[in-house]
Amino acid sequence: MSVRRVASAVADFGLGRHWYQLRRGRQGWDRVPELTRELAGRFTTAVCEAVSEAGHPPAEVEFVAATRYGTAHVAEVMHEQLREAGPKWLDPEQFLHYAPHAPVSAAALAAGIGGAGSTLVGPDAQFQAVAHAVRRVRAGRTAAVVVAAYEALTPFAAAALAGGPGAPSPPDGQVTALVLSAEGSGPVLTPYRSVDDAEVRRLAGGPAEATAEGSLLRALAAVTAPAVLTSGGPGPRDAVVVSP
Amino acid sequence: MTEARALVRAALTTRIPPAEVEALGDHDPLHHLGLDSVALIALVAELQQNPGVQIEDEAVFAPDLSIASLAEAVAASGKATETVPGAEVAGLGVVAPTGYGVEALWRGLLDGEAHRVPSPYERPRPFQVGVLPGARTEEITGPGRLVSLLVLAAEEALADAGTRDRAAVHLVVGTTDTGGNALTHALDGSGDEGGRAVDEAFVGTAARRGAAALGLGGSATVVGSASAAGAVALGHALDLLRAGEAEEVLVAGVDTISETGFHGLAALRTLGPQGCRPFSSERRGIGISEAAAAVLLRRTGTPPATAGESGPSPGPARETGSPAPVRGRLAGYGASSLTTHLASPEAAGIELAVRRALDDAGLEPSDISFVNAHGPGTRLGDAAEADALRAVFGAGLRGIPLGSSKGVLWHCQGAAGVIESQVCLLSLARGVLTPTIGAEPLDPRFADLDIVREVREFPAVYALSVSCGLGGVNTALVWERS
Repeated sequence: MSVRRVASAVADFGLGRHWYQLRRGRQGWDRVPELTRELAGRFTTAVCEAVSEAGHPPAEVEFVAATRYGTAHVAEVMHEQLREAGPKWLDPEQFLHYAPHAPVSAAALAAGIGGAGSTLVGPDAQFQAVAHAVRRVRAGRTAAVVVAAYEALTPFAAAALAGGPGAPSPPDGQVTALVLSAEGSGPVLTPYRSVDDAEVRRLAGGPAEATAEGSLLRALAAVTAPAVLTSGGPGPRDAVVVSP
Repeated sequence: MTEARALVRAALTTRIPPAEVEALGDHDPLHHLGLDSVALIALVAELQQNPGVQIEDEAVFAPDLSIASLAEAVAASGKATETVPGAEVAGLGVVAPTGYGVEALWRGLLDGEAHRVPSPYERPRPFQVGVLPGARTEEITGPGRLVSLLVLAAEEALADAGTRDRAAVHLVVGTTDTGGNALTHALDGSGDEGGRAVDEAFVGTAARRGAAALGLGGSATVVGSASAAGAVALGHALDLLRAGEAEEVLVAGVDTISETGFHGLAALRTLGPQGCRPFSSERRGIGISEAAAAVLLRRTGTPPATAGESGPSPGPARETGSPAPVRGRLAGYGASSLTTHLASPEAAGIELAVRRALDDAGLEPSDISFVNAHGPGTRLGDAAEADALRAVFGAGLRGIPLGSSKGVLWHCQGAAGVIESQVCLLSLARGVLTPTIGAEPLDPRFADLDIVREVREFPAVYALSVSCGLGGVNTALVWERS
């Protein structure tokens, strides 16, 4: 059974004003919820667009999301508040967004998604999410799966991922939502875990290999021609073959 | 036959670009794809990993071998289109406030005892937390606690299963951790941003770090689906096994008492002064515990390991050469995202998850022998879950014993779904149900339920375990006695 990308939606948003508030420390605390709201709102919009475009009844659609840093900006600010002012300063409403699944819950609620939902966290999460979705559709467990990713790095997280001193300017926040299904039109996605160079070359056949720098889902949302998208780096890596 | 052909095509796409497989007609010879005899043998070996599928040599080496003829051979073996199998439980491991190991967990459940200490963090009210017996404060609050607990539970499960080749074992970790104390440690130590402290601050690396410590060579996944993360991790693992992408998956639920998590729950007024009191009229919220629980799931039909083929086991000794026992079977998993509010449990969402789990297992509600409820001891949570169970089981619910191990364990957060699955497996294996501690005095609204409040001998075949997380993460697992 072939599993296709039948819908997609993406959005970028500036993190500059949020970084400004995060760097202000105590003076910025009351503005931190704006980052939480913008992240959840933009993610929800992308998911709703993709679900609407795909046309599957959302009550039966499943949902798997991927993120590297999740909503850990909430924990960062909580830590600062606990150190500088004590527990009475914590915002109970912000704690609802503490878990990386929180944006998924918000989007599922808005889009009326009733299928199984999960959030995968980590450097391999986007590939794992695609593989999970393909598995669910191929097995006939569901007709369609939303595969989505979100990221809104803080100054701490951006610096840590860059492996050096703090980034002078923030990377854009990103939200991406695809719908994968066996029904509908769009490129076929076939994931392969941990393949070596020779296997990638063989899988590529005609199409050229491309490294999905940064966001695999972004690359899958944009791709129109046959391709092999890999996670990059030497040695065994994950790959998604895109075919007509 | 259509399903068998789909099975063959799916197996081919693991070797041949999907476009070429799609272009090949059902009756076209497979040699058009350039498969040599070795590749054909490997393809057939993969197909035979589906339970019951056995393909004869004559079919494999027929000169006109095609997708259709191979599918015929698959279908002839009579198993390709049967109900999708579950997964066997090959090993268990746990560290929790009941102590170190599965036997300590069982004793704690029977005796209703677990280790608690005052919260290690500044607090407006005197909350207690569940921790491992003997753990020092600096250990409980240390940045490396998450992976340390994970490794302890995982080692027990791997030894219990007698896993021979760790290089092939996949790891799926469920946790609510968002970096936890490792993140706060890294934030405090700004001079160490390029080092280990920063790596630990990203909880998404926990599975990789755990796998490296355990010597596991398969994929390493972190599921961060709130308090149901452990149960969701079990569902992901089941899919991996059913798809034939893994022979063994180690599922670990793990969480610590992090400073931000503890204070966040207190701020949300979720913590109760007496911890978890499931179904009691005096329930006021939850208490939280650190814990790690691990289940080694093995693909149904994979030959069991034999004792003496792996390292020493901390569990009960087995005679050399005797097969590692199968602890039971994960028969089904169901989940739903249905909710109407981010902070409120939704009966309809839980009901849907339970119905889907039963459907996945191919069972009727009447097949379930007992229910290990999510039962956190919150006002709304217990009520919503009871309503969901009433909707699924109808009048039959009166005859189904129901309990919540959170009365003893408290809420083990990301570990809850896995440790409570172990409660089901142990109860099934031993024919004994353990009491719901703290349920007295029972809330009259649950008077129609058979809530287990004393140790009860009860032979059973199927158990249902419900796990829920904030934001409408509703899950249910069906466990079967071996």
